Amino acid sequence: MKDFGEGTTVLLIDDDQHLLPVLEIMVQTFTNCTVVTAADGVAGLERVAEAIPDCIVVDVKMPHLDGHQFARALRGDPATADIPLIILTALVQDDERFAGMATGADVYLTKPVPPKELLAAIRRALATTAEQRMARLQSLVQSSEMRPEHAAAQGGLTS
Amino acid sequence: MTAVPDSDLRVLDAYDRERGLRLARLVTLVFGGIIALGAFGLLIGGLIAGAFGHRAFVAVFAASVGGLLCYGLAWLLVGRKQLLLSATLNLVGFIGILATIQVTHGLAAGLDAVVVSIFGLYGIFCALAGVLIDSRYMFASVVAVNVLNGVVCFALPHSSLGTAALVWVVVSLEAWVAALLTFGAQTLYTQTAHELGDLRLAIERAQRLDDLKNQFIRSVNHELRNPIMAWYSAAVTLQEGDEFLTPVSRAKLADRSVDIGKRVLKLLRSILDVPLLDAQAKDFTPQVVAVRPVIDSALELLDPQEGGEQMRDIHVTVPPDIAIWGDELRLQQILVNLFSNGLKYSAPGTPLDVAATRTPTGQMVSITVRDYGLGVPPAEQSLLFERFVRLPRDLTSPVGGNGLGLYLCRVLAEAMGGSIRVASTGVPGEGTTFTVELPLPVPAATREPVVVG
Repeated sequence: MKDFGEGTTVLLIDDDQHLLPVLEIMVQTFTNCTVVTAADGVAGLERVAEAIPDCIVVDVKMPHLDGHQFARALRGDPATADIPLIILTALVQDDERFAGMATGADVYLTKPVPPKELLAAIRRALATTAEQRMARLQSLVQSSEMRPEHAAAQGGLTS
Repeated sequence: MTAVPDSDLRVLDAYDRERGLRLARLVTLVFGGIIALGAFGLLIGGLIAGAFGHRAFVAVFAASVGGLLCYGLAWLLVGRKQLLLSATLNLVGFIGILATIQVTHGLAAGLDAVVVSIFGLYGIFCALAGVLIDSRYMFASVVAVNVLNGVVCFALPHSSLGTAALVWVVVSLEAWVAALLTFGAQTLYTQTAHELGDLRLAIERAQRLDDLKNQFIRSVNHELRNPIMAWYSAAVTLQEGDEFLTPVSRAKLADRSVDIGKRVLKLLRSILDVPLLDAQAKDFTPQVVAVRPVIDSALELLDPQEGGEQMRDIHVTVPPDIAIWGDELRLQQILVNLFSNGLKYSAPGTPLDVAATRTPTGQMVSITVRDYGLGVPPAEQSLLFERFVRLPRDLTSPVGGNGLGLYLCRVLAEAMGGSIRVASTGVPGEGTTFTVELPLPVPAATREPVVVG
């Protein structure tokens, strides 16, 4: 069991009053992440605005703003476009699946999905985010090393 | 062989009528065209040959123009689905021309070969009458043609009464033979057509059942997927994550599991109890039930979650003395379903109107429940009271349901000798009105004794 720690956040969005609290406890228990929840797409976007999560799991059929609309809003904003998105739906029609892919979901799972599959998808998503962060950090460090004044400072030290 | 339901007979009749109209359109067009060509030919020929001075020619030309007018009118009437009138005009138009030719020719030449051979054409029109309308109409037209033939035979110059009578009998028999042959063919054809119609009905019914089945699977499918996933996740978490769970989380999971169990059981009961409902709906002893208190108790029974977050304005306009003849519990079930539907399918904050009055005929009480929600598209209203039916839009919306509520309402209303109907434009915001009609209490003296046991 890989431990991501409380610094990692997973956002769960689902309007089912039974499923959401159970998933919250499950994800929290098995990944040790901080789990944030929302009952519809609008509330979900508010949570994202408060703090950018490392992974989002979203239902499709929800009041106010459904999963596809949520995904579109998320992908439309450069600040949130890279967050891994798992769509979790009770709809089984193929056209729904295509709609999910078109709006840019990374993973598309149909309820009921075995809990371990969902957890595995979340872990993969969190790992991706971590790698992306690391890569960005490295490129930042590299670009700062290449800066001329930096080089000059280094040269000054060695001479 | 099972009896054909009335509704099916109506449908079959409609098919027959549709076929008749198509045929009448064709016949009117063909014969009208022939007459138009004939009249045009007569006009040109008559002008060239200078025949318009002859009385006989003018009479025949006038008859063709009259026939043409009949066919024009017949064409208009077919358009208005007036099959009987248009068929009669068909007959009158053509037979008028034939009779005019016979008389104008026969007045000079007597009962000659031309006149007799034209008699042969009458039979064709009798047969046509049978094909266009029915056999009764055909035989009536045969009798009319017989009379007309008789008049022509005896009115024209003839060598002897015996000759005239012989010609009349022969041409009359000919018309009867044509009619009887048509009758035979018609009977066979009708039988085949009805068999084909039955087949069409059976196919339509099968398709409808298939649609219902798919709708049922879709809605139940969806209603089961969420709780099963929640249940499974809770169980896996309890089993494998036990060492990490806080007592609070553990208690939460247990509570949720019990709630989910109740939810699944409720869904299963509502589906599995349908046959029971059908059987037990009529199992009650009717009595006088005041409507107002039942409305109040039904409102109290509503699940507060279904109305959305906000309180709703529910306007109840029901005179206190209005009562029905039926069963309190059944009326309450109907009302709870209609109220909860009204709240479920309308926006938070919109009101709900409930009213009850006597119907204008004075035999029934009509209770209406009106919301200002999404409405029901007219095309989808006919299926609304069938079991397991949910509107296509609801299958992809977050509003849950198993498609049984309105079916239940209909079964219960009919069990009490009443009915239920829906009125809606389907325009969101204009809402839906459900009307339940139930019998008024009968004065005690005229009541049938209630058999108990």
